[in-house]
Amino acid sequence: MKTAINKSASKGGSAREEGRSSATETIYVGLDWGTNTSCLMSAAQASAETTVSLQEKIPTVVGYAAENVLNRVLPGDAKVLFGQEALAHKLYLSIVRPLQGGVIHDLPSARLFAQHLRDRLKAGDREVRAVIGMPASSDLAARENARKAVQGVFDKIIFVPEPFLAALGYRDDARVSEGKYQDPVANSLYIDIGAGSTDVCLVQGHYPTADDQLSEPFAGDAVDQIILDGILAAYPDCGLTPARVRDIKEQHSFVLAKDAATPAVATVMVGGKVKKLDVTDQVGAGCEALLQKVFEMTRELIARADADSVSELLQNIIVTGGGSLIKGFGVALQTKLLEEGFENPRVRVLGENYKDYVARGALKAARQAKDRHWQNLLG
Amino acid sequence: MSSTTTPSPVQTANPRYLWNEIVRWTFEACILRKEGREAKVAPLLQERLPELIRAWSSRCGLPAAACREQLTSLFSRVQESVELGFMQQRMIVNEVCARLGEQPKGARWPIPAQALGLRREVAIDNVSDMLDALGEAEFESMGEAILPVRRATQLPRELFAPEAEPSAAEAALA
Ligand SMILES: Nc1ncnc2c1ncn2[C@@H]1O[C@H](COP(=O)(O)OP(=O)(O)OP(=O)(O)O)[C@@H](O)[C@H]1O
Repeated sequence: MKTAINKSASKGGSAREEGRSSATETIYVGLDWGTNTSCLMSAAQASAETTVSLQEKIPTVVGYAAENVLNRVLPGDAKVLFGQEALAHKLYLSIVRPLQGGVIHDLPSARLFAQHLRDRLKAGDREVRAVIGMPASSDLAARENARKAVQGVFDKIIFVPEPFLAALGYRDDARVSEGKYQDPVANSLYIDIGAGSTDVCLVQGHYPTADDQLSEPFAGDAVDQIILDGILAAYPDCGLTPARVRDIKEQHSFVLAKDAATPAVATVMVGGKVKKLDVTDQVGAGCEALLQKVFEMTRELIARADADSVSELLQNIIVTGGGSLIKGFGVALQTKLLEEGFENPRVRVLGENYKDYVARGALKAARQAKDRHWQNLLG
Repeated sequence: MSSTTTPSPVQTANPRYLWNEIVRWTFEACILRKEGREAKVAPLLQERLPELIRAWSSRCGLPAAACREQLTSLFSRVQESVELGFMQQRMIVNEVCARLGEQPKGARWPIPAQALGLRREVAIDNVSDMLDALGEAEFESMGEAILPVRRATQLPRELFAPEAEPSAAEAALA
C-alpha cells in the first residue's frame, strides 16, 4: 500500500528507517486538518486508552523553494518545507496554503503536507489509521479531494465532522461517573470559529444531526477581509497583505471595549516611506461583524432546541476555534444573549488549547472504530 | 419449532436452493455492512442466515466439518468480492469527481452536494454507532448518486450451485 509519494517525499525514506516497533503494530492518528493550523495526535494500537505518543500543532503551509535560492540557506537544502519551518524561511519560499475554508484547495500541496504529517509519526512500515476531522458542511467533492490527498499516505481513514470530534475530545471520560462533573455533551451548544467557517451545533446527549447544526462560511478569513477593506479605504497605498492583516488581527483583536484593547498599529510602507498606521477601528469592526454573525447563529440554534432543555443549555455555551481568542469574545456574546432576553446565559471559551480537542476526539474515535468503519485507501 | 407446526419453506427446500439463498443473503449482509446499515445486518446474521445454514447443513449430505469449510470459504469469498466492488466504486467515484472537477467554472455539480452529517440520533458514548450512521449517510448520498456498491460488485458465478433439477433423492426429501 505504500506508494511513490511515500518514497519520494520522505527525506531519503528516513521515516521508514526510523520505525522502531514491529511492522505489524498499527498506529492510530487523530487529525484536525485546519485551514490555518493542523493538530496531529497519535498512539500505538496497543497503548493504554489515555496514552498519546505524539502531539503536534503544525501551521498548514507548504513552502516551495525558489529556483535561485542559494545553497545552505534552507535547512538541508530542502526543495519543500512545511509548517513552522516554512514560515520561518518564507522569504525564500513560495508559500502555499493547501486548505481554504476548511477544505482542500490545492491537492498537490495537500498531498505533500499529508506526507509530512506521516513522516512526523516516524511510523516506518507500520500501518497507519487516521481519523480526520472535516467541517460539518464539507460536501461530497470536498471529501473525495481529502481522500485523494491522503491516498498512499495513510493506510485507512475515517472522516468525522469536526463538531463530533470536539465534543468527544472535550469530554473527560474518566470523570463522567463523578457526581459533580458537568458532562459537556449532555446539553451544550458548541461554537467553533475557524478560519474558513463558523459552525454552531447542539450537543444534547447525542451527536448532532443536520437539524442540530448551522455552518456559515464566515469566520477568521472573512474578518481579515473586512479589516483589509477598511484599512485600504483609509490608506489606499499601504500595501498590506492578507497575511500581515492576519498577524495584526491575532495580536490586537477585540470586541466590546475599545479602551481595553491594545491599539493596533501597523508599520507599513506608504509611498516609499515607513509609516505607523492606527488600525484599531478596522480591527474592531471586523471582530464585531464576526460577533454579530455568531450571535445570530447561536440565537437561531437555541430556538431549535426543545423548550424544556433551553435553561440548562444556556449554561453550557462553549466557544472554540481560533476566533474564540478574540479578546472579550465570550463576555460579549454572553452580554448580547442577555440583552436579547435569554435568562442567565453562561459562555465558556476553551482557550489556547482549543486545537487539541478535535484531534483528541479523533484519536478516541480511532481507538473505538471497528474494522468495518475504516476505509481502505488504494495505494 | 415443534414438529407439529407446518414446516417453513426453508425446512422443505432442496439444498441447492438453500445454498444459493445462503450466498445471496451473505452478499446482502456484506453489502449492508459496507453501507453502514448495521440495523439491517443484525436480523440477517442472527435469524435468516443461521436458519438457512441449519437447514442446508442438515440436508446437503456433507459431514459437519466439510459444511463448515464450505461456509467459511463462501464467507471469505463474498467479503473479498464486496471489498473489491467497494474499491471499484471508490475508483469510479474518484473518476467521476475528477471529471466533474474539470468542468468549466460555474458548471453545475450534478450530484447533490451532501454535507457530512447524521440522519438519525446516536448517543454520544456510542462511537461505533456514530461511525455506522455516518457511513450510512455517506453511502446514501454518494452511492445513490453515482453507483450503488451492489451494482459495482460482481459475485463469482461459481459460488452459486448450478440451477439444475434436484436429484431424485432431493426431490423426495423436498
Ligand atoms: N488571537 C486571535 N484573535 C483573533 N483571531 C484569531 C486569533 N488567533 C487565531 N485567530 C484566527 O482563527 C482562525 C483559525 O482558527 P482555527 O485554528 O480554529 O481554524 P482552522 O481549524 O485552521 O480553520 P477551519 O476550522 O476553518 O478549517 C484564523 O482566522 C486566525 O487568524
